[in-house]
Amino acid sequence: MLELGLSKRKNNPYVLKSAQNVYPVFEEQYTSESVQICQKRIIFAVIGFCLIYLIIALKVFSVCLPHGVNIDLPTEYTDQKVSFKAPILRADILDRNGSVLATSLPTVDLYANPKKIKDPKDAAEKLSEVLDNLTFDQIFAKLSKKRSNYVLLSHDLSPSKQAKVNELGIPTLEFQKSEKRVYLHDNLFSHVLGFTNIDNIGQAGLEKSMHERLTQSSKPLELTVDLGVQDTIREELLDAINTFSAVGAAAILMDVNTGEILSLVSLPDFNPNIKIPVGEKALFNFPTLGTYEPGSVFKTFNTALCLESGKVKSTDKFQTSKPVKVKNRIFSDFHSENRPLTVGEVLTYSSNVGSIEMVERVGKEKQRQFLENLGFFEAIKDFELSEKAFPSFQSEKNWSDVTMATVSFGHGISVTPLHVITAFAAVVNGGIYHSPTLVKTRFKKTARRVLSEHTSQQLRSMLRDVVLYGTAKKAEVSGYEVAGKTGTAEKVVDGKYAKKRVTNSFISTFPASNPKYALLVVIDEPKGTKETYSFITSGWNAVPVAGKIIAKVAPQLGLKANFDLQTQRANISAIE
Amino acid sequence: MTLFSRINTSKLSNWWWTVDKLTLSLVLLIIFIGAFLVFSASPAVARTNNFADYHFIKKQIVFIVGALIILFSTSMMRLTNIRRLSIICYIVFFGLMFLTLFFGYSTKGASRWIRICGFTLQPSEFIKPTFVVVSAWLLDGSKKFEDFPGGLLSAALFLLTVTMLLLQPDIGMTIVITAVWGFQLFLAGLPMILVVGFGVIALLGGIGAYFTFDHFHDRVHQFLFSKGELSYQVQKSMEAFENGNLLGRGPGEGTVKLHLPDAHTDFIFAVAGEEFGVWLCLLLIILFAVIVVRALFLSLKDKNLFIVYAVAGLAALFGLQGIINMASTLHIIPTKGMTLPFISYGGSSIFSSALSMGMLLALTRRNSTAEDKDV
Repeated sequence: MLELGLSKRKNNPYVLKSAQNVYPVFEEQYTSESVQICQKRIIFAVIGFCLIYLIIALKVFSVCLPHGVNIDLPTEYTDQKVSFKAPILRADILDRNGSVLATSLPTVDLYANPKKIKDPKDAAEKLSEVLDNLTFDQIFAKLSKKRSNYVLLSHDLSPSKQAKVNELGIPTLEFQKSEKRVYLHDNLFSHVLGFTNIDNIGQAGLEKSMHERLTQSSKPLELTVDLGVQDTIREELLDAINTFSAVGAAAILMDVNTGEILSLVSLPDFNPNIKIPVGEKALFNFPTLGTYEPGSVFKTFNTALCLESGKVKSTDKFQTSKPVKVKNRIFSDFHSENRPLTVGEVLTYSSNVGSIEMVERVGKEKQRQFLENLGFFEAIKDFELSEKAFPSFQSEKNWSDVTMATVSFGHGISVTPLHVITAFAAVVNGGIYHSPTLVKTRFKKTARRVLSEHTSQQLRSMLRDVVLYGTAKKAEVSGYEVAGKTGTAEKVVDGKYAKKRVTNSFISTFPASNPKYALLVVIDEPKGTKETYSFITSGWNAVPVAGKIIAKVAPQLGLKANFDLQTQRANISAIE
Repeated sequence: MTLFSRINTSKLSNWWWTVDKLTLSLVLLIIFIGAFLVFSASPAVARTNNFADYHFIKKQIVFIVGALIILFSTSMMRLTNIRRLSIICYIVFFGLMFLTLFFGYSTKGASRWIRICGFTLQPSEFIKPTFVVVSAWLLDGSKKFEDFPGGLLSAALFLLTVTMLLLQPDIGMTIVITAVWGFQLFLAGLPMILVVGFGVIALLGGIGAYFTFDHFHDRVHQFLFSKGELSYQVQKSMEAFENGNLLGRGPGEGTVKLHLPDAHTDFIFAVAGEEFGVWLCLLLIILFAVIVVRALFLSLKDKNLFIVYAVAGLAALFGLQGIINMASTLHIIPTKGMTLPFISYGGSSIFSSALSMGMLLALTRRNSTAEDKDV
């Protein structure tokens, strides 16, 4: 390639004409020495240039291919990747129907380098007009920190704000990509979802417990909760707190056949979109983290235990008119019936004496075993929230006959509302225990039998009687066959039971003939009103609230009402 | 092909049969690649400077046409006319350089440009090739006539030129001129002791410049003493090369180039790397190397020392400019405001390159010496 350009000279006819006789003349003009030096040194220069070009070529290789050759063209052509300017790192959270509950928006954080800002006053003036949350003085103070070369001016600027800041044309401002977590329904799911901190790290609720899932996969997280139902229940509870001047209220709605939680409300609550400190009580997720003595609600499990053991038959009668003495303690009923009560009637009239007499036939060994099987002796397993509480109860050694007696009617043991509803669902659904869940999964969670089909069926009809004839009449909703059990537990204040301060609950299921859902309503410290004739027992507050909730929620859930046509016709003719 | 029949003795035919077609075609290839690279590198720069997307492309097309005219017309000239052209051009552009000191407008810390009829011209670009030829003529004279003080005159010319360049100040150009003139002296048989001596003087001059000129100081300091912290421009340049990898991102597909200052001028080599990968960079290096080496060998053809000094000087000028540009883009040496001949955007740069190559082609034509004698 690099021919010297001399070889063909003699064959070139054009050049031959004059060149042949002129050449010698030129050569004589110079000393042969200077021409020779030239030739040598040209060769030297050629080598020099070649070496330099070689070095450049080698450098090209090292700069272009620092990690070797990576030919990724074929895959790039077949699998075209869409890249967003600001990829969202935290997955959305959806309700069971696909409505968005929590999402992330792309934002930027605004930083400045005070060392490089030439006119901090001018910059602060301009910025204060754009950044609403900061005053001129605040910005000026930040920009005047000459010692630091990186100060944060504002978090989470929206794209339009970013554009406005850019338009100001202040050099040395820097944006850093970020994202802002947004909860579309403010307070509605505050305890289920929890919240994230400024660095988008989950601090409570599912945001905390599912943090890894939410950050590792961009696929939305589907929950079992229902947006509409949650809203209905929350509204009713807010109403109840108002009506009864209660300090708080909570409710859980569960699918009894799967353990899926459709609604979980704890009041008071907070707005996770607003990052200002709220009271501890508002942050506290009572349904899963709060333990309380469930009271008479627990008689449901006592009855189930006694019937399941075979030691008690549903037709057996118990004398409840006289107080019962266990060791040194005497227990009596609030309103005693002056006749022997059947097992069902013990439940209907919520007799403590009857409950004790029943459990005494079974014994504490069986009682403990049964309660343990229903999950009352441990924190709820396989539940997604990290806000879970361990129940408090007597150890096996201290589980005396008195303990056995008090536990039979729901005292001397503290559990969370979630424990109650999960066990209750197992009792009424045919006897299968499902771990509660908030997250939709393709795989069914482990379930176990804790009760016979027969006992479950007996309990359903007894619980239905409680609503029809007993303490929970105000929960009846025509067509939805509500069945349930009330509970009024005096709060322990300074180690003593406080008469006027109660935690009322009502646990229910509907429809009783083929249970689909379980609902637990808890009202914390309701006060008496004119309408309740100053009564503060569960039947006057928790029960009617549950009735209102079921009346609204059942149609929302698409539950078919099963009206007793004959009763209906009788009612109509009576009106006419 | 009756036009270029060998019996045809017209000027054009004469040119066609005597010009070095390899060098010519390689130069045309470089111009073609350069046009292509300016097309893909300049729209982003145009947008940042609030020009229409094709602003630089349109201008560059005009420049290329002008450059081709200069290239072809110069390459047809006789040796004597080349000499005359150089002397006249040298005087004219030296005058213009002198004017830039008073009427020039400055960018980036140096006043090198002057406005003439709506065009901004950088006279120092044209000083380089014309200086080389004039200096070659003086050195050749000293070989032909013993009492002709060619060496001294050449040295005087050199000092004059360098002084003017330092007044701009234009350190990059000064280094190139110094190196090329040194190379010419080296070919003219400068004793080895003096070669070493001049080398030391050049080194001391460089150190002196480092402490004298702020602009130069900053760049060298950045290169030598920043521990791994590259200047923004060099950092982006490195990213562009890496992004290109072996085969490049494809024409117009570069993304780093969008944020690379001077992507269309001093850093166009990085755009070549990003969009076409290693292979185009290597092709460009080979093109430059072949042109330089070929020209160096061709310079010896007639044993005419004027041709040797002039052609070797022009080849070294062309080669050095390419080397300095590529090496600073690749972070081998500190950044110097040096364009890549025929490839970087800019009228002065491409016209001056065309002038150099045109003269080189004219001097390496097969019967250039004979023509000279025929007159």
